[in-house]
Amino acid sequence: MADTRRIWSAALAMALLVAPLAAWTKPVARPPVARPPVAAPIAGTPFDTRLAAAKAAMMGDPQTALTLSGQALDLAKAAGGPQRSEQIASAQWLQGEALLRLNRVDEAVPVIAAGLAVVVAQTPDTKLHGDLLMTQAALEAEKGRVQNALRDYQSAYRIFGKAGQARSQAVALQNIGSIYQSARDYEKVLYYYAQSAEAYPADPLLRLSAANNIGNALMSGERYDRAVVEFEKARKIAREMGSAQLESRILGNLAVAEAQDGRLDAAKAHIDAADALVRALPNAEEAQRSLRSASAQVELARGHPQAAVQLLAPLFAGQDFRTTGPSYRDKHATAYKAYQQLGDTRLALAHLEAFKRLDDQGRALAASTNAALLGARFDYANQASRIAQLKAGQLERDIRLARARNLVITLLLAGSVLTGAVLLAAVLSVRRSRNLARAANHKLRQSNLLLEKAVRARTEFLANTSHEMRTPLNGVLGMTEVVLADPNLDPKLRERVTVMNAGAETMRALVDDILDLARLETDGVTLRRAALDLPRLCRDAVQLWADKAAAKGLALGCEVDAVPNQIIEDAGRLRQILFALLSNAVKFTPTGAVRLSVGVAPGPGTGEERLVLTVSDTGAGIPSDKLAEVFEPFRQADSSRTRAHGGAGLGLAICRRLVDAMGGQIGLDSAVDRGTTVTVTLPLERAAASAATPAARLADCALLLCDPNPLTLSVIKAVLKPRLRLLEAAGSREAATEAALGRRFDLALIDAAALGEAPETRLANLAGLRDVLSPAPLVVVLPADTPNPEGGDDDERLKAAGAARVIRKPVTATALVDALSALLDPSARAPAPGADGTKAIVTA
Amino acid sequence: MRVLFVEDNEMNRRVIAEMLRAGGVEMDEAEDALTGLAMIDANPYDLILMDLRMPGMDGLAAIRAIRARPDAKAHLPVIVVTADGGATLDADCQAAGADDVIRKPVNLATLFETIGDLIARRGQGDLVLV
Repeated sequence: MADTRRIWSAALAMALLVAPLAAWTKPVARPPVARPPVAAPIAGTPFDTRLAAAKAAMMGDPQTALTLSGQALDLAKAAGGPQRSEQIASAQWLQGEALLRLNRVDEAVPVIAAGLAVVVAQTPDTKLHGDLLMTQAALEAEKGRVQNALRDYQSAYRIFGKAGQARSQAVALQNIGSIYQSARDYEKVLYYYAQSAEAYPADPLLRLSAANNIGNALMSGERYDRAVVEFEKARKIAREMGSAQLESRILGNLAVAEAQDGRLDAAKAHIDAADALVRALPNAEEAQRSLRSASAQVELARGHPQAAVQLLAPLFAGQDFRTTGPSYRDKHATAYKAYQQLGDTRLALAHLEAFKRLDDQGRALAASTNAALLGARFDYANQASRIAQLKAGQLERDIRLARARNLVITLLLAGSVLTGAVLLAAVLSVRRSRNLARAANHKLRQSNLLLEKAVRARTEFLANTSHEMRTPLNGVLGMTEVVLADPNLDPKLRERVTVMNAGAETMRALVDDILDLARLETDGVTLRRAALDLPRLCRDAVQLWADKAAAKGLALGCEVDAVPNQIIEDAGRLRQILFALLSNAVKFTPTGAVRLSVGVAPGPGTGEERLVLTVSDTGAGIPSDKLAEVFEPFRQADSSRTRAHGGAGLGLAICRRLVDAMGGQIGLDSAVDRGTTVTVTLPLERAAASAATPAARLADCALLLCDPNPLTLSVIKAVLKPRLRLLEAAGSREAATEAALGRRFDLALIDAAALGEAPETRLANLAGLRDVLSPAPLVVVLPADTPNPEGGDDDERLKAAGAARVIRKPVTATALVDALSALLDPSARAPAPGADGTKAIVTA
Repeated sequence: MRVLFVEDNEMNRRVIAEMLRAGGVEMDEAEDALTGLAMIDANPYDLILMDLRMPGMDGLAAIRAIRARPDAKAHLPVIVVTADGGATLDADCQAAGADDVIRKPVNLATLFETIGDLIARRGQGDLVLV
């Protein structure tokens, strides 16, 4: 994401030039990470001379530092001696650091990696090792890989601890704080900067940097009074250090904080003081420029928008508002407010747009940084620091907090854009009397733009979340299913894994529902209308809930007698509606009955017909004041029930959107404790009756298929299902028995593998199945490689045990269908089943 | 039956491999599309399962590359296995030449039903159960 990277690089470049200080408009400051001792002793050797000079030049002139460190590197490589590799690594560190400061990140990465490789091999856990890691972390941050950056800073922190480098440790903590600053996690920022100040109080620059950055974080959290205290602390340090440059920058921050806090006179006084300091500086013009933003904010707060605009004007001169960088965010905000007060709608709008763009970028960065931080492993191994003593409890709280905050930020993302639209409307109403038409057009275009953005952001978020959730869910769901597919699984274990599996299934359904709803709202519904068998679809939908209803002792009814057999509609969507309505009915009915009835009613126009689908229950009912709400997403009439019944309450919301798309209506009639009736009315289009199927008898048949191999099971299912009235597939003999107890079948197709290994067991199991399935004829399928094993499966013994017919693999699909038809209708020719085809596709 | 699963996520590869094993199906795996295409070149597969989001070449491009082959392998059955849920997913997969789409999390029954459907659709009456 180019924008995100620009924010990082701009922040870094700026922070590096102005040492640890940043105007509050640019809160992400890179603390003095690699600040080399300026007064480094210049030793005799050419290498040492170059190295020291490169360090000295790093802050102000990285280009020169790059040249010098390159020369040092050449010298080190040419030289021999015991320190050769350490010298190479030192030169590489400075070279990488210089490249980083010049924003040549891609060139810096391999240089630092090479230096690190040398150090890790030769002199690990030294200051140089830590320094290299710090630069690598900055590069990672620059590339937007926050997680890696955090890891490297933490490693550097640990290594500095081992090497006894307390100051560098403090710097590492500040850098970690700066990462949290870009995640807008201000609590963490405060925490890390406070830690750093405590870790090494001897260095005034570090203390100053900490106070200033804590002040910035407090400003971002709108705690201006506390920010003032921190900036005053920083100002005191700057004074003690005798740095007019630093003091003037801090005075600017201080004045802005005071202005926000309503202390207008103090703010003005501090701006004037800063101005006086700046005038005496050698680079007065540049320093004055950086004070302008603060002055403008103070003037605006003091009710002088004209002065604010004048102060800002030179900063915006020659700037394209569409491409200004993140440091302009607050300048645009100030300008927008000032122009608004001055009544210049056009300029106010332009600045508002620019502000929105930068603010969105900032939010996106915060969200992605936060997401990355969530994934980061927190490692506080260092014994020397108080951080290590905070223990897992604190960490867990932090992570929970961060997670919650991340969610809020993402939700706010959509909300903020809408708020933006409201703001915009407010701007436009300022000068309503003037240019009314133009303003209205603007407003419309802008609102549309913002709304589109909001919708897009949400859809992207949902799509990504769904993707991220499905992948781990795949592991849980997939592996539990694999475990359950093992027929030799210990029954106790099976029971437990079944519970896990059900939980994962529920979660999957939830993810699907959320995504489905998001898609319906953003993309609309695409209907795939085709002829469908309505009574069968309804019966199947009810059948899906038979187990659940039976378990609760509910009567489950389905009345579909008075409807046309074939209609044109989207079968998938219709099934989805019925599924959701029946799901609710079964879920919320403790005793009594659930019933689906389908009928035809006259439509509004002449000759028009409507299909009326009614799902009624005798359940808890919905209070009349809650009736309208139940169609809203994430609502259940009684939220305490969400816990009892699960589900996100998306079913009815999805139904309503689907029914809308189908051109129908959905209505709800309910009385508390009496029950609920949901009525769906859809336009009815009859379809011509389907052509007669080739195997007429088979088409009326309910078949039970039992095969423990899921592949052959699904292949046979795919082949037979379109030819049958009903096919129930069972993966084991037990499942087949259970299915047979639940309904009557006309025919059963049993693979011998489901009957057990030993011949005697097979025969006994077959007889058992015959008893529960009676009078349905049983067809047994034998494997190809057992034509007649020792005393085993000869056809006669199988027939004696209950097989009406024995089929040997390989068998073609056509032959299988013919054999089944023949069994139902003895008058039909009974073909010899066998492999006459040539394409052996399924092997199991 | 021999299947190739092209997927960069190791956990997903393991899950599907275990599932297929339950059906007696052997699965080879490739962790990126280019490796997958090379393996298709070298081995006789009955079915390709293809993830979409992978580093380097993505799954749709890989499917198009399979379909562009001059030999009979251009007609290999390909099923997309993806965690994506976009509105145009089915259409995109169909346009690239995929036979079917399975959405993650993959359900054992759905996996085999989709494969079974595909086999039945392709084999029709000549299908042989061995």
